[in-house]
Amino acid sequence: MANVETPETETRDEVATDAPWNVVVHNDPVNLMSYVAMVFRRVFGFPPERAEKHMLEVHNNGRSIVWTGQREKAELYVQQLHSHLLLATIEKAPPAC
Amino acid sequence: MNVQISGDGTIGLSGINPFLFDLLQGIVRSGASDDPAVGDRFFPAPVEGGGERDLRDDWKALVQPELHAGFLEAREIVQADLRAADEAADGFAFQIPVRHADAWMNALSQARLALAIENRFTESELAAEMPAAAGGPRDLALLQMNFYAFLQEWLVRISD
Repeated sequence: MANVETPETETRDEVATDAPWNVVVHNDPVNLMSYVAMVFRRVFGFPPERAEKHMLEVHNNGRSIVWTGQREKAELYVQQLHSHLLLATIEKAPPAC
Repeated sequence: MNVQISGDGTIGLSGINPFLFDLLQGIVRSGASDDPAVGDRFFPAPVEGGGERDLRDDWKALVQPELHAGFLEAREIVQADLRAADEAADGFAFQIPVRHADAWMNALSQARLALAIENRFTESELAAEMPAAAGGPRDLALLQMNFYAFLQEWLVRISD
């Protein structure tokens, strides 16, 4: 979604888009746990155990990183999660050691 | 209230008393809240903090209208199912076709979130047992939220 105006910016953006991004789901006290787990299964195709694990992580820790990868795809996942009324954001993944 | 699921997955609800039927109609009313705080919750930013201005602007211009249309469509589907209800001696009856289950779950989430925000329910209030009797508008809203949670839980199970 970032605009590329100049060659210089283009180079920087390429580096930025290559870096991995996290999709983070945040806790809210209203959405039902079963509903959140169902959304994870549908959006990410997680098996039930993995969906449950992330749902519990959101519930207990306030957030869970549910996916990491290319920025554009991360934005699409956040859009899908928002369409199910889950609180989700993207964040730059910390560089690998 | 009686629930029956037919062979093709259609959910039939019958024997719904007027009070519960009014609560069901409240799904659409609640989800259509024009409270700005509800709008903020329905259309959150895709990033935390104040950075990523371009992404925020694009999100507002491109993603939020799509989300808005999707939420409206879900409420319209619920409204249409409720409008088709029949009134019998033992109460109202209507059907939720299986292809409408997602719209119902979405509209129920909208309604629950809107009610929680408009009534400023705390986490402990939301986790507390339902009030034995609705003593005021907040009690009624809590009752409404719990009823919607019951329906949503049940739809999740059926959809799985």
